[in-house]
Amino acid sequence: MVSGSNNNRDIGGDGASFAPAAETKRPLLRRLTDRMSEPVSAFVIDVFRIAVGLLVSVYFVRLFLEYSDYSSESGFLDHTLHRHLFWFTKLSLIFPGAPDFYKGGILLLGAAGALALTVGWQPKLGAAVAWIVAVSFQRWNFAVINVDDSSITLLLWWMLFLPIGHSLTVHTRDLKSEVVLRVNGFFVRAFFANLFIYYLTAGLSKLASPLWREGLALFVVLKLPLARTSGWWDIQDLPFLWFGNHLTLILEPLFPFLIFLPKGHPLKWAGGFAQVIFHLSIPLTIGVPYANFTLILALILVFHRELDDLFRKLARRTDSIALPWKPPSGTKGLIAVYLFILALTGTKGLPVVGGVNEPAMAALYFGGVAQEYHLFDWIDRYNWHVDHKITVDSSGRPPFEVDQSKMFPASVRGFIVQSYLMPVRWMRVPRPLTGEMRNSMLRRSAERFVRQNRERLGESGKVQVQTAVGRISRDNLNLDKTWQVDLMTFTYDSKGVVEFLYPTQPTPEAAVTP
Amino acid sequence: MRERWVLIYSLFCLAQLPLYLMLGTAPQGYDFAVKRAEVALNKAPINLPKIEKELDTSGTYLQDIPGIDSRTARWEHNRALLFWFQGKTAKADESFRKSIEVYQATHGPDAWNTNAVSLRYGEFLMDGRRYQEALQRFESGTRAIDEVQGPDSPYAVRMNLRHAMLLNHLGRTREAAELAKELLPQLQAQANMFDEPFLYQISGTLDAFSRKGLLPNPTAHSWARTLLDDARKLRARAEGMSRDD
Repeated sequence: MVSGSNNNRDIGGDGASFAPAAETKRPLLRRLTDRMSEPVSAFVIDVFRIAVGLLVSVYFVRLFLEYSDYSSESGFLDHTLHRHLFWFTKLSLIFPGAPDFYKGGILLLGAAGALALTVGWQPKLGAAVAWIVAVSFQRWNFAVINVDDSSITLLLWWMLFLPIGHSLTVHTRDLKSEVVLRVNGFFVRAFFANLFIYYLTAGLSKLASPLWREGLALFVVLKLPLARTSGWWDIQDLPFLWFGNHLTLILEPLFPFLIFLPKGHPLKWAGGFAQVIFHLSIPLTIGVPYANFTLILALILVFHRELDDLFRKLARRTDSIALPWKPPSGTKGLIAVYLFILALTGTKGLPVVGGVNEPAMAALYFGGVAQEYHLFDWIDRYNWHVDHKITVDSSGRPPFEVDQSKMFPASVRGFIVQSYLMPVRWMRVPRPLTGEMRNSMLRRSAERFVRQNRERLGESGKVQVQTAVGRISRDNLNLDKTWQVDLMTFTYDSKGVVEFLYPTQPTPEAAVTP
Repeated sequence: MRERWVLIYSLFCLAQLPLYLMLGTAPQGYDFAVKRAEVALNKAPINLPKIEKELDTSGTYLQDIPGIDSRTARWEHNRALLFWFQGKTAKADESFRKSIEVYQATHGPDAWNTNAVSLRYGEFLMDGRRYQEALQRFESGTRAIDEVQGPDSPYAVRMNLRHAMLLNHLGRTREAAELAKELLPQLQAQANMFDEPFLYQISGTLDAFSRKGLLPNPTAHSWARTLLDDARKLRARAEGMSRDD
């Protein structure tokens, strides 16, 4: 039973009074949507919009910076093969053979959308444009996308629904009067449901992982080549990381419960602080900054009532003006269906219902909002450590070594590229096309290496890449057991033409001709 | 217009269905059918008519996939296994060769799949007592396996032990015993990862080496007993651990 006195509760709203007798007469669904629709500060939502716009803008800058490595035709990905393997990625604004100026133009359009979202000029249209461009590039580079990319899609998707653009726009001027604007809060609370699914799936799925349960997962993750701190950790750090491992297991599933705590509750502040520290520590030590900043930005909405109070206090306003905005018809139903399907994606590996995971993922993919919240529960499969030794035998000079980051970028995407060279694949490449994918990655890594290191390599010569491979597991935490692999040996000439000596590459006639 | 966005979006989502159906039927159909065939191939009692039916289905889908890729090699490999089980050795031989040929053309001769099928073909040749031909397969195939999965992985250990058995068949006993001696610690450390028929087969060879003094005697009265005991202990330890978890 809800009374007018518990105006600190989020679901209960901000001082709205309820008539208990009348409430019980309304159907449950109606009561739920009414509660969810209680007004929230339009100003806070637009603060969130600006923050999202900035994050998405930075994401587009990153796409520009990574263009030559992934989106261009000469990067790590053979896009013709890519579309053959991942046939479902063909529906995109980008097509094989599209010139660089076209792809660059599309990227610029997406960045302009993100900018429009930030400044509040046609923000919904801006979000829609940025969303379509982001989804197109994610499909184009499907083999190397990760939670960073899907988090950006998630934010843009929610921008299409949230009541944005009522304040803090290029058309509005008077901040003091904007602070009092209040708007229907249905989608804010629906967004909380999305966060709930996010954290619960990410948190609970880790419990299925032996490494997480044994307290070793954090140590293993931090030692992987994808981590920024790879190589920093040793066995003596294990007790500290064991503690961090278990803290993650406890905190992550608890984070979404913050939304149920009353305004200003000490536990809510403490939880919010823990969440910020948690999500800052991941980009600092591992990477995936966009996913973590997405969740930090979400706190703006989680703390919307506290921020509303703060802004009103600063503006010295106590009144409020309710805006007539209401969700366009069908949007509530659409979001309900989306959240239901999203919840089904979290069922991977569960008995009986586990089978619906893939159809649910496919449905979200159709809708351009592919999401996957099984984060780092894959550590038991992807615990492969690779350490490359690149030796160059350039004509007329003594052999010398080149740092491995010159061949594979020291980033999460760089790690993903290397996964296709190992018996693990980041994206599920249909068997046995894994061989075609591996060869293509080897060839393109070699060509990129030669192209980007022309001066260092000299006119012509031979490059040998030897790799120490090992799996970081309970029995091999210090990587004492590794084995040597001749990853590739190739020659290059003054024109940058690469010829493989090992592994022998198939003849071009046998290449895929879709 | 604002009120129609959901309708337009929903129509857009639904309109994709025929496109995905058109693009995905053949590759997905092939994948599902060939996987079902592989599951049936590894399941006792073996259901040959089911495997044949699934391979026919996957073959039909394969024809609808444009271009030539290694899916043909996977299909031929499974057909080779089917023919082997059916006792049609000439057909099996032909399918093995076709599979290796396509893998060589699409993945290259040094690739994992090329060598994995080549080793399987080696096992087939061993079964038909074509030891010399089989030896060529084992001598060229194990490097890729060792490199990709690591020389201590169960698959690599299994194939290298088969190599040792083959050398023994060919009368190169000392060489075979040395190889087996090298692999014995890995075999014992992960005995639970191997099926019993394989453990019995390799035990026969190991017992022969022990009798000739080329290998230490097993701790139990035979290598089969020793290895089965090791496997049982390892399984019990693993179960104990999962209970503790």
